[in-house]
Amino acid sequence: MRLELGSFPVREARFGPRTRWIDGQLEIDQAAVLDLAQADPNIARADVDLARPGDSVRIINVADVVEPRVKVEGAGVCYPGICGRPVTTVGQGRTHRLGGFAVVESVDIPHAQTNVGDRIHGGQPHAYDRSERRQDFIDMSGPGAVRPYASLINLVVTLQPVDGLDSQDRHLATHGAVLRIADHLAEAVADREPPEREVFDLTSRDPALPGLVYIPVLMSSEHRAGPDAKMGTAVYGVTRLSAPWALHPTEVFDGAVSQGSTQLLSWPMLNDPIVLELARRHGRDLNFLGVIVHRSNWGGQAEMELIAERDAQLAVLLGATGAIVTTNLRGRRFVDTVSAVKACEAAGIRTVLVTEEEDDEGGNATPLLINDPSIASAVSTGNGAVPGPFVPVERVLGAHDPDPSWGGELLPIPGRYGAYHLQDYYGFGRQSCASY
Amino acid sequence: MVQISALPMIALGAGANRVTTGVRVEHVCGDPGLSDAADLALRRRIVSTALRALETTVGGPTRFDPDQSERKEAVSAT
Repeated sequence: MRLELGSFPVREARFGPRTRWIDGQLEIDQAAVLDLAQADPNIARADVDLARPGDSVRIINVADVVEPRVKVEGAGVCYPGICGRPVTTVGQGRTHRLGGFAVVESVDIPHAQTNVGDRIHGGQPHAYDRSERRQDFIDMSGPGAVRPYASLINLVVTLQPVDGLDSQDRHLATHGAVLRIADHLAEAVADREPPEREVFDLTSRDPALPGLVYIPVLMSSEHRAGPDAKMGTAVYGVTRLSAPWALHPTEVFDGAVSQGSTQLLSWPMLNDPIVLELARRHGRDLNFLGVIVHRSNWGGQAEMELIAERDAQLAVLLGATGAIVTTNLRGRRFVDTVSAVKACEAAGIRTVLVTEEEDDEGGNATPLLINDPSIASAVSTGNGAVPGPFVPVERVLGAHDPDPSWGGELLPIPGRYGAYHLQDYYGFGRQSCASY
Repeated sequence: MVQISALPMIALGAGANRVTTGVRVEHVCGDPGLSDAADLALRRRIVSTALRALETTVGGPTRFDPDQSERKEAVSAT
């Protein structure tokens, strides 16, 4: 497949009479965006704001971060299968994107003890909700501005669903609204000549170069939200636990994999630096043969090992001699991940694990939950520790009437579900390291 | 000590000396998908495997899987 990615960098954004992009200036028709948000009767109220890098702003209730992309040549639509969009195979032709810009989906449920956690737990209160509520925010400045979204210009869409919806309908309403808005913004650059373009032509392979696959282990929401759930990380809209998916790498750039929960969002899926780098090196240093999506959250080790075996078998079928494995949530998902490494190595595929480390728990914990001898090489993206505190901010976005405590200083919450964790699975973080 | 775990890889990695393989994270020591009699047999098999593990001297983290042949007998008996 061959995909041309045309980028329209957004250096400044403001509200104006119509939506257009001129030489890095994005003008947004606020009324049109609000109309698109409220086109669904399940949206009771919508607000939009802009947040720029360096602003004294905290964006709360973050359910997703979506980069506007539009297909201008080739089959399908970006973010296929999501919220009822067509499932035609994407990854071919030309796609335009707004670079350095995102639409933030903030879901505001007044008087609710839970918000994003509630979405993924099928409306059932969950022990982690309290800490999850505290981790789904973005600081745009200060020492807490460490997430990649802090360096983007963000259109924050605050959506209040009507009362009485179940979590599924609420997701379809809010995420559907955000996709309509993203489509509207991307449409502004559909007919323009992109100032930056990058061609990912993976049609031919050089037999002299080694073949690589990328295996992201992505958790499924099935165990909490059921096999037919629309919310949670999806491949072509499908969230359920399944055998691994084999994708052409360019499909990823059109949003074949998107959505998530809490800190597992759409934006990093489409901007995964590992996929980008492998695709850029195709034909030069290596042949990028495919992306094998391993769905995780199986209940037993035998199932995890089975899926890992299928990963390895797919990699062998594709002709891979090397693999990079990542994971987007550890705990039991790390058995899936280590099993994938093990199975690939056993199949003769040299494998590198890229992962965040566990909390060090004051020096008492091991960096990896499982140290298996099959892990021949690993790259750490750090332990995600944001030392904090998160400093007070002038403005809180993402709720119509935010609790005043959100504007104050927030302390980092340790643990995998706390604000302490950056959840940087693919190496976005601006971190340094020292050798001892 | 013996640990019954649906994910023996984690228990063994953490240094547990005796690990008996359980069923699933959601139901470690049984299977609600089975009939009551088969579930009881399965539970007995897991627990007796764990007890056998306790009686066994080990030199390091060791995995004890419930015996598959016993399982066939127990299931066919219902």
